[in-house]
Amino acid sequence: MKRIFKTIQYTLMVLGLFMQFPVHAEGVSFQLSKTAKILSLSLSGPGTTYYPAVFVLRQNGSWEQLAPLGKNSNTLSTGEIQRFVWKENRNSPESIASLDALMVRYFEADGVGLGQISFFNHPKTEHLLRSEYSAGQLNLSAATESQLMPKATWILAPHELGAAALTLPLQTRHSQPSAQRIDWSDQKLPTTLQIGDGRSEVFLVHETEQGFRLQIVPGNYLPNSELRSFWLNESKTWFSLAGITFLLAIASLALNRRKAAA
Amino acid sequence: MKNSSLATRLRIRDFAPVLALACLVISVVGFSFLNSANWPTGGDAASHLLYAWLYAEELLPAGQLTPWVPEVFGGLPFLSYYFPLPFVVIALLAKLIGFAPAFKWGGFLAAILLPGAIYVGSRALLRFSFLPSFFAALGGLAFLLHEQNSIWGGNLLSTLAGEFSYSYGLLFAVLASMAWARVASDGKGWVLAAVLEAACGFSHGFPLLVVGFSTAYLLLEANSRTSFWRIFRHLSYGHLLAFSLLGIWLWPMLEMHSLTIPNDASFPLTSWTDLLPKSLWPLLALGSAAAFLLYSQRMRALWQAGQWLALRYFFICAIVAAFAFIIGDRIGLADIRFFPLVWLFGMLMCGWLLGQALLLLPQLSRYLLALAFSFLLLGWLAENVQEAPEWGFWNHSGLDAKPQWNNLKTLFPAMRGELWSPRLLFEHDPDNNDLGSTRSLEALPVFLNQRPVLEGLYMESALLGPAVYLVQSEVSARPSSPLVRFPGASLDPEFAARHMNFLHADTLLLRSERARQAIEQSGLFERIAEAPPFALYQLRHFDSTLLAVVNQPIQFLPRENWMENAFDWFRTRSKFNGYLPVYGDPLPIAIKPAAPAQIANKKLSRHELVFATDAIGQPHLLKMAFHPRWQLASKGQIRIAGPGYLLIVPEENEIHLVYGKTRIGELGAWASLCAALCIGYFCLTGLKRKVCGQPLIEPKNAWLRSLATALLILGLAIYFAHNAPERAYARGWSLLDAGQPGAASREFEIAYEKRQSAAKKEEALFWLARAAQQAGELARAREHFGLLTNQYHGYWLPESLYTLAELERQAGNEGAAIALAQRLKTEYPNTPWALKLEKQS
Repeated sequence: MKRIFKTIQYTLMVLGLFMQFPVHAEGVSFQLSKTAKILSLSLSGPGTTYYPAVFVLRQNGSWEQLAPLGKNSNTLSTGEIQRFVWKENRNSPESIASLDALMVRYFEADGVGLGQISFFNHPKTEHLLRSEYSAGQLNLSAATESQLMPKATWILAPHELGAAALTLPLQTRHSQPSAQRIDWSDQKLPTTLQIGDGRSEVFLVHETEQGFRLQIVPGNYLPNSELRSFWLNESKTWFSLAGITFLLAIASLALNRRKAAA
Repeated sequence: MKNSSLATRLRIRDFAPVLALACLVISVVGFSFLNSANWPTGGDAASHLLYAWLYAEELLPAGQLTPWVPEVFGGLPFLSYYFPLPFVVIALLAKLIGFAPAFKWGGFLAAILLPGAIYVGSRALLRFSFLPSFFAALGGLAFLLHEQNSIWGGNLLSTLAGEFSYSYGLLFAVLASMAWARVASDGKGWVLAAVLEAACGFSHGFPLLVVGFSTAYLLLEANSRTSFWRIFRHLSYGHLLAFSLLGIWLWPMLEMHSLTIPNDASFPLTSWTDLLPKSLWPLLALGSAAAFLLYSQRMRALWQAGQWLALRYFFICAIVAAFAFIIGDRIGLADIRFFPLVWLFGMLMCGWLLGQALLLLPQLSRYLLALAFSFLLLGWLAENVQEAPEWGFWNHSGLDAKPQWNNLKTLFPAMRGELWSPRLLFEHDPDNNDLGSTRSLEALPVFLNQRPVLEGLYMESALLGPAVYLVQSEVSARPSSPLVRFPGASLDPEFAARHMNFLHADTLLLRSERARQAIEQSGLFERIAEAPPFALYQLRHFDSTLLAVVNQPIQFLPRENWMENAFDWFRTRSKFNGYLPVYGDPLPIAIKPAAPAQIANKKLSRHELVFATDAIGQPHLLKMAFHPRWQLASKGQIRIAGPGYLLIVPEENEIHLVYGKTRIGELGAWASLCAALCIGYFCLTGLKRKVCGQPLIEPKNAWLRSLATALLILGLAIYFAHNAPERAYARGWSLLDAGQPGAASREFEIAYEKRQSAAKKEEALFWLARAAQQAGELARAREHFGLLTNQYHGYWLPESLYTLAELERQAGNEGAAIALAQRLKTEYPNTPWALKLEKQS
């Protein structure tokens, strides 16, 4: 009985090794254009996206979904245009809303939800913090080469859950939490942020004395590897182990020969 | 030789490799997604869903092993020609873990168990030690994980594409073969072999054929007259028991086999790697190297007589499978289904050889080297597994995760109905893959309150299949034309509308812009709902009823070649408009009264239909597929009519149809019951004293016999391969591509003469005529195009009519040219060739 219990225990441990990591599906790109009252969205390049929605960043960091102009289709393919109600911002230049930051959220054919961020008023790009993904978390630390320290930083990133969430039915309504603002007078560097299992591209918008500065952190997804279980991603390890054990086997054979000869 | 029971030969530590190998397979497709409650999709699995769901929810609990399914193809004898065991497993699992996970785990169960089963079988049945058993199991794993193709069957990609029945068949084929080898060598276990063979048969036919025919070789393993008769006796008992066990399902299938549609497409090879997947290379190389060691006396001494026999027998099994692969399409079977057995049996042999060779080494070196080879194999497999994890995610995250499916769901309220509502037709479009699979729409009855759709999965067992795929091609911009012998047509809304009415379908779901435009321009349909890119249309002037008195003239025709005749009638306007063909002996039909007949539905259920009619003696057309199990419980006569419908001439006011059993079906059920009772009796009383025999002593020339058998089979295979019509057809194409149309036409002529089915002959004849035309042999071209237009009625007919009209015009035969052009315009007005002709004139 004890043996059986142990066997089950080991099995569960082995199964644990094979649990999967989420995937970040490859994205597509959009074109956005606006008039005083209408924002138009179209797809550049071939493909189809599903349930596209456009969000605009408001002063308090919330992402507000734009209302569709008429009844938009649930799919957007190349050559099609979807229109949304657009209201011009009347925000002060100090407000994050003055950048007219937009996020297009959509689903790919497999159901993975993605988002893309762009700005109508693009801030100057400057690398003010050291940033890197590590074990699925975004680490921010002071950049030694930079003279400029931001007062605060907005973390703009689409909330991406990756493939792991798709063991449940798809929720076609997009959920996008508010952008986080880190006030560096309250919080010290280095710091670690949870962006979401999809490890998407992150836009750091720094508030500085000279105005907004943009720093882009590339996404950390590993195409075609997240769905693969542990042992499939370790072919080099297996080959190394094969090499080592093969050498050991040869050595053991040689020793045996010597013993036999002696 | 130790003489221990099967169970005692296995110890608890033997379950560790079984579990580890199962975990490896599970990990590739994803544990969490297998457990997900999302409805699975992907490949054929998307369509299997409907049948598995019906079976688990309603049919099997009601005791219906081979039920009637009106949800697709105008009625389908589900599992009468397909394999019930995997569906039974899924239905049972569904009671424990819910339907969606049960479908996924049930679909993959055989694949998950295969390497472990090879290990256990090698240990328990063939008494191999740990290493040969383990490497044979790794061979099974390498076979499962190869990604050379996804349609031949057996590997994970094929299982993900929906061929899970085949993986069950392979599992039991391997175990049954091991059991038969033991029967021949030890004289024991024929009941077990018979049960495993029956399980193989309940799972898939192709592995059963290989296992069944290969066992004949075991007679050659006899070393004396006594042992020959002992093996013969055991084989006879075993096969008889297996055949009886299969009776409930197999006997009626054999009886009604003529009512299936052979789908004997051949799959030309593109390169030698098609036959030698990369994943198999390392074990093949190691096993082949180990085979050379068989020259060594030390190596040979490691093998027991039964293990030698198993090695030779598996070698013959692989040769038989290769032979069947070569001749498959000539006997009306899908050739590719045989070759996976060559790989699997080959891998097992390589595993055994490698494991036995390692036993020559001192213990430490042996296990170190075994570890090294195991790591090497794992590394190699890890490098070569590319698609399966993503396919697993795509399939098992399922329909619920696909945004396009969620989009389509908005149309479900407009599409809903019930089991006897008029049917739904949908356009085939490769883009539907974003619904999870191009076949996802075939499962729609699950979501539409069982409202029937025209198209389904088991097209070979659907008598109305040719008609259904024809009308699908008439509403599809990119039709599927899956039946080799009954090719589709092209967009033709006008004929589609009439065909839909005849097939009792009033709703049409379209996706492509081209089809939507054509349908809307025809004015015959009304758009009732839309969820771009999908649009739903209602057929205007739909006046079909499930049962109606035949209004058009009837032509009684012989049953011989009725399917081809019915298809020709259905796709040819003049014939379709002119009469209704009824196949079989003529029936006396009463003179039609002036007043229209009064028909009422009294009972419509899955297995029983009752109508009241006042038109006694009049032919009634029931718009449901014919099947011999539909029998009249009331007085009257039944015939096949039209594309495969039931025509009833009642002799009383009630038409009472029951989906029952044929005489053979009843006998088969009794045979299964008796066989099961016999097994129970054998289990209780033991067989040893009664029908077991003495262990076999290996004959001196055993290898010579097996090599001679293999050479004989291979010789036959080479003969057939050399004379294969497909070879001539491929040569024809090579010559045509090389700019030698004259030589090409000779090769096409050989293919034409040797091909069996009408559609394939028509194709070869077309290219023969076309090549002759290109070679400037215009008289010959005219002769062959003429033959085609007179004797064939398939895909190539409109183009042939057009070309022949041109050729006749060039030859100055204006009258013949006009007649041909007229025929093209009348019969196939919306084809590209008729349109081209119209433009020219």
